[in-house]
Amino acid sequence: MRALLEYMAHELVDTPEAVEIKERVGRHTITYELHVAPDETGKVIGRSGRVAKAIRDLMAVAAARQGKRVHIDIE
Amino acid sequence: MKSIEISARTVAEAIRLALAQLGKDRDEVAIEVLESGSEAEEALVRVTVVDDDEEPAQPERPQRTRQPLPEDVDVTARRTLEELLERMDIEAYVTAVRSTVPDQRGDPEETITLHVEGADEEAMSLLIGRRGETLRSVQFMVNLIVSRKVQKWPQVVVDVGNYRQRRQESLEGLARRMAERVRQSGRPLMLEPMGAFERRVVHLALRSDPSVYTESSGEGENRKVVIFPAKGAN
Repeated sequence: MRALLEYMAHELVDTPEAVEIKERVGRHTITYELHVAPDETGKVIGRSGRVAKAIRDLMAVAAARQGKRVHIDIE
Repeated sequence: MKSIEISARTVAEAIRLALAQLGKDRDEVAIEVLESGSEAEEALVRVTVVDDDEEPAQPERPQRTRQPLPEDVDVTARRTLEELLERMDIEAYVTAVRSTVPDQRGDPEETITLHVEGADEEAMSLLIGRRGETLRSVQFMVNLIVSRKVQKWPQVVVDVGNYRQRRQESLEGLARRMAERVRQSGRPLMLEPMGAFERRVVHLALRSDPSVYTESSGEGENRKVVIFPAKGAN
């Protein structure tokens, strides 16, 4: 799951080395905190949150494959 | 130019057979899907060997208003989707098919369709999501990543097990039934909000119908098609 988030984040920004992902594992839900370079948050959020929605939808599929739920925080 | 038509249970299977028969690689041929296949019907593809030494067989090429996409975009698009699927834990076979379809104004527009086929029905329906919403997100993500790689916005369509074709057929049916209603009442009719792909299907389905015309109205998630009676029809 983390690999998917990492792949998308790296592909969407100009400075992949600034991408940072924190993981918190709950009983049913895994929460990922995604950090990118401050001037690049727009690239992972998009106009009216379209990119963020796509990231969440794809992550939800990856989570469902493992019988889990996932929550993505974009900082 | 050598060209063969092959039918098989799935598009991917037909392409595999055709390539084996021709002894060619995927990048040496042009692939056209004639029938995408369904449970009742076999898929049919035409595979043509692209030979650089020969003149292209088409005498007249359609006028292009846009620059054609570079050759390797289909490979980039296919790889991008494969990378995503792999990390989603979904095993599937992806085939890229390039085609030219008219856009809303009827100008030719080059499209790359990525056909996804997998044996795991549950995984395939997860990928489609409710009303195709997840599929739209997958498609958006592929377009986004590919556009960053090729520095232009490609028209990449992602289809899973012919979901889009089935959806397209049912939308065309809906469009025609609603147009009939507009003809009878003489009043405009607003359809429910739809994504760009769905709206395009409706516009195209009614483009050749002289008794009605269509427009999109509303913003973003709320954008919908309105069917109007043709001016002077009443």
